[in-house]
Amino acid sequence: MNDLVITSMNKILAISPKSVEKYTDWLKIASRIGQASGVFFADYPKKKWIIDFNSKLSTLGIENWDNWNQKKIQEFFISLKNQNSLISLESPYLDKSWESNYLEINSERKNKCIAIGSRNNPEGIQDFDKFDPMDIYVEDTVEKKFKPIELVNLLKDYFLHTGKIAIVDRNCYLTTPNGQISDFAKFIQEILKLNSDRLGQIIIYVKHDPEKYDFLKSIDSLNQTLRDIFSGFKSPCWGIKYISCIEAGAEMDLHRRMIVTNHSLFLLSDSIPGFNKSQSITRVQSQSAREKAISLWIDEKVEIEKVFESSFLNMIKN
Amino acid sequence: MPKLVSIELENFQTLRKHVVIPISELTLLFGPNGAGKSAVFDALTLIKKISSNQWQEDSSELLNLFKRWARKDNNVDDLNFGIGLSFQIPSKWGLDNHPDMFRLNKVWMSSLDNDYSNSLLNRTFRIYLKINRSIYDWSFRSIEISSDIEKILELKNDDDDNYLRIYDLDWLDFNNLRKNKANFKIIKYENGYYECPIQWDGGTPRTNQWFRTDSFPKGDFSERESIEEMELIGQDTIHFIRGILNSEIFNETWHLVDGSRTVPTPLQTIAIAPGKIYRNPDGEIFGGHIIEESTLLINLRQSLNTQANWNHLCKEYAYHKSSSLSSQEFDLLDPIQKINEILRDDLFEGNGYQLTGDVKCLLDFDEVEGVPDYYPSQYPKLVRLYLKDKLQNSVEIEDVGSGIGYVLPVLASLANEGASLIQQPELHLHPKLQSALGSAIVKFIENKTYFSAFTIIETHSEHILLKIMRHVRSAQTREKEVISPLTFDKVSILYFEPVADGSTEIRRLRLNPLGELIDRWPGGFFNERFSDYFDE
Repeated sequence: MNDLVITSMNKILAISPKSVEKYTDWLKIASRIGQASGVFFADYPKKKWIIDFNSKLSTLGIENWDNWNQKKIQEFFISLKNQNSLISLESPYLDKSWESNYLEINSERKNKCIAIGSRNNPEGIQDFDKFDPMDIYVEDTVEKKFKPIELVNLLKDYFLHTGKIAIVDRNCYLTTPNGQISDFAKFIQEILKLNSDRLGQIIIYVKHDPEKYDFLKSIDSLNQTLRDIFSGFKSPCWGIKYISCIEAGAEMDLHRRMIVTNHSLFLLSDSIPGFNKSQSITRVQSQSAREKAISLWIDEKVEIEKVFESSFLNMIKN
Repeated sequence: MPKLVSIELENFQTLRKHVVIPISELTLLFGPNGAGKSAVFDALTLIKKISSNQWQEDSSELLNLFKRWARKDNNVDDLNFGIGLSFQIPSKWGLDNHPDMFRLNKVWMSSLDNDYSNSLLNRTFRIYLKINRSIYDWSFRSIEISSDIEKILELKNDDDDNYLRIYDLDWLDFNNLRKNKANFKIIKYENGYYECPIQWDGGTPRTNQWFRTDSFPKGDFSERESIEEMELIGQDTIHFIRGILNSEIFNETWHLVDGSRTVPTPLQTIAIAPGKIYRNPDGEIFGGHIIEESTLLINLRQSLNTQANWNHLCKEYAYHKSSSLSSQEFDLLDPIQKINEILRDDLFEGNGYQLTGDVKCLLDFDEVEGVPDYYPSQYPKLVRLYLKDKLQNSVEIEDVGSGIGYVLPVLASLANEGASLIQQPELHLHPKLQSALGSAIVKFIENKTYFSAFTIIETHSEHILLKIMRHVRSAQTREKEVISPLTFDKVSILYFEPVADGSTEIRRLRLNPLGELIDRWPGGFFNERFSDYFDE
């Protein structure tokens, strides 16, 4: 196991297309998959999985599966795709059983996976009879003071499966007060190192404080600082948008310290630079709280007074 | 040719707040019915009309459009709206043959002799108008012209604040003003601009004067002369921008394929391609007879060509077929060939329908006696379009099922090298065909050669969108196959979202290089079909 994987904020459910045979099998997983629950679903073999699964499903005779018919199950997977909850295991798939292929996947990837094979598979992967639904429960809080690379590693699957990331924290300054590159900027650099084609934009909301931070004294100095810090990195295709704001009103409170993606919301007990000794990060399960935060910060519907707004774009891979 | 980059609207139809609408190689308009998607097409129609000379004599049609499209909230007596656009001049632009070259010469300081490239080429220009109805009539209440790096002109025509400001730019011909600057008392020079008062006497603006210059200012002769000089520079600057809009952006190829279209009738599949013959001073036919002057032809024209994009298609076909282009060059340009490729490869693979054109000279052969027969491209021509099936039988478009009849005007528009403006291309098409049309749209766009080419499509079809998104994902693989692959940054997806106050807001939904949306679809993505995602 990689030393940098402190713990995980998500798991990956990898199941054989032939594993589901009964309605009770389906019920064990149906309500637990999705970024909101912290469970990604392995699209393995990529794109073929769903075809093989459908083929199996059509032989099952699912007339008695309450409201679940084949079309609804298909729509369920479309919905997972739309929520970016399908994940590739990035491993080749050869012409042998799903279970044999699965065992070939590298161990680092497998460490995050909960696998379910078909019944009585000779490879010994658990089947639905042995599978305990609690195994895909993901803790929603992790307590640790993270280095930038550790925090990115912790949330890597979320960052790789979103169109945008919004970071809301009054202390998200690019430099320290004495002008050194901040841990927050290093955190963004680590996100850029993921080099995700899917990630289109990073939006950063910070409290405007030109007295303490020189780079916020003018839009030119902000532009220059963004260039200085990120010019060695390929940016998301629509750039990094840095917004310095005047805090006002409870809804626009930048004290809340959030990392928001298109599908998930994380609350941090301390700023990313980390002023306190303790730090915790919580994945918010409440759908309404999540939706509200995503609408405000990802869809940019927040009505907050912006002082400077600057975007940095660099599509050249160094 | 300059390229349209964006449209700006404010208080226009359902759009209340000022909005900048980006226009890309492909712009897709989505949103529920009644959200005002057609505002984009209407705005272009209006700007085209404003910048044209069509309202020189009778402005009633234009004023009716002002009245119809200005947003009406509460006070219908105080109607006002904003409309504008930005366009980019290409890095190489042949100005020598520009019809408004004389305007350019007046505005740009000795432009042809000097290097105008820094001030003109590769720049984006913006014009924005605020139009208001007062107790007198409609008028331009403000005009702003700027480039991406500098302001050029501002005119304000408010009740209590009337001025014309022209910014002091190297390339603007301020020679006269500079020479007499010391004598000016009325013309202010501060913050980098000259400013003079404008006296507004009400009344509708005219095509040749968007603001009046005939309201004599106070002051002695030299002061009046100076102001008049500045006003002329202002008028010329506006005229230059208008000239570009008129002749370069809104050229004759602008036709909307509207959502209420029907299958073209046999009459609508016939068009007249204009040409001319020449008659010398001795009376020998050689020059001077222009098709538009013939009553017969005008009458014919009025009964034909009701679908403008068909008309354009026929004209291009007739022109190229009878021009001196080699067959190889013609193949590259032939719009009917382009459409046939799509019919054959993408849309109607099974039944082999192909569009054919029958080109006939329209004039009586007695009339053309003496015309050298090696100038056939100059004869007026009647072009007839019909289909051939796989057995080579000629069939009327009406007789082959309505699907192809509805889709052909769309293809005719897409085959156009310049602008393609289309409402609901999916009309009456089976979902599978909608998906195939998505591929066809991408194929046409990727093979357009003009810098200024763009396509705007209003649609409700998720099949078309998903297919386009899939092609965006594989754009890099087509680098050697097409002229310009449709990459993620060349697509604008605009969602018209109704808001609580009854107006509409426009949100741009962007793609990533994988062809996926990075912005969330308002209210959740619509009901996609399974195969769009998981079919290989």
